[in-house]
Amino acid sequence: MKYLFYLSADNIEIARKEVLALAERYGWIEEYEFDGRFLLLDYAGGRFFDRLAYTNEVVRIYDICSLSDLEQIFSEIPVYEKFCCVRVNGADGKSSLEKELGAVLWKRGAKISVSNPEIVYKVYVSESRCYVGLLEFVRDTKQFYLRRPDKRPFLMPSAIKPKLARALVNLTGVLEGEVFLDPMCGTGSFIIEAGIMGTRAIGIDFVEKIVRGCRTNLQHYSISGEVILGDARMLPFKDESVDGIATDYPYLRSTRTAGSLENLYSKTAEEFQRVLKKGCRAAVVTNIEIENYFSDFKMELRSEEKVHGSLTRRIYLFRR
Amino acid sequence: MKPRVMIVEDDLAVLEALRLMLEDSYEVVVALNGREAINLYNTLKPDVVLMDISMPEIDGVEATRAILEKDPDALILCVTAFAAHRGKEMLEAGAREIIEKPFTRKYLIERIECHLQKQKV
Repeated sequence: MKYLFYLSADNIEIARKEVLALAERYGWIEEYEFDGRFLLLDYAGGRFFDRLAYTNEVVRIYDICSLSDLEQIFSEIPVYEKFCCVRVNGADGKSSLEKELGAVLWKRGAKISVSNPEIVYKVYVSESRCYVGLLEFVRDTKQFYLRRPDKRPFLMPSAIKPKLARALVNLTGVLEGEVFLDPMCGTGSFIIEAGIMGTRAIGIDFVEKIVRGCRTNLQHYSISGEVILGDARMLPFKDESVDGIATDYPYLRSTRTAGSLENLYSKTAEEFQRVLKKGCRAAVVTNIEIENYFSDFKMELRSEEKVHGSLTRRIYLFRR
Repeated sequence: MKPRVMIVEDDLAVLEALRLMLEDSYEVVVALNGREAINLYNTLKPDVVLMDISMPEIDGVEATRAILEKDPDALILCVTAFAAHRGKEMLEAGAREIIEKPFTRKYLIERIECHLQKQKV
């Protein structure tokens, strides 16, 4: 089955990796192809779309054609008993195209409802071609708004936002029922998202006040998860016991309380290597370059985001 | 032979965290609620039971009473984040100590070892 993923413009690299990491864990990827903000995936397996953070929409592909062939395609596309409409992305004069293609369906006996459709025929127009299919998933953006750091009872500055947290948990490919760990959990951005997605989400923090605060945040959202008082440089777990790690390293002031940066990065990299199961991943956010500390891992992603003038967030994905 | 610890906990993330913290030092067995703990206790004869309080079907207080009724020497420790809520009830039911979260692995093992030593004496 071919699916088209319409990716968020926030970070295309993360968006692509997020889809592929989940598809790899939920089923089998026959082949895939990138086309700007689109990812065309030939996939067989379980459905994982609800987990996606950096994908705006997913469409089950009916055909790929040129703009001039669209009318022909809509004269053949299956018509269902349900109310439907046509929505077009990326074309000049998209509303007139929507009307034209909707009229083709209407002439074939389709029941049209623009305001309350049960089925949406979707056309994406890229630079080189048109993708036609049925809309299967639209990301709920409100959920991330409701879980923003400033909406939580326990706050800390510079907490990762839920959308990025969700994407990074997904990059690890951790599944429901598997063990997810954030060894420097802070207010719990990663634990909250991992808990919602049904993983066995465990957070660790060095500071008791933060552990209590993170627990309060989990309770606030009624999320299953556990938060332990501990040190990321000496994880309290046995070897090869964790299926995925995502964490945001502390920056600047708070780093000094936990010892030197050098010590923090080298010891945590050793511990991640020890507790992660073979082939599993760690998604890491920092403000400095850390490749050298993680040289025992395979680096699968390196991305940068400017947060403000003096802070560039670096995002890495390492595989054991 | 490692001492056998039974974790009684209905939240799977909490259960997993405790299991991962203890597995290196103990043989860990698990029960997902009070009823399962009562049933498993007689067959598995754990050296220590780590009991949560709030659980479906039979809660920690009731399970503690039931286990101690059959085996008055059972070593039951309550592990909870809400000691102020029902900690007193657990102690009255016969739990030896309330180990309040959050704790480190080191502290948890210290408390278990302390009680195992006392039990031997």
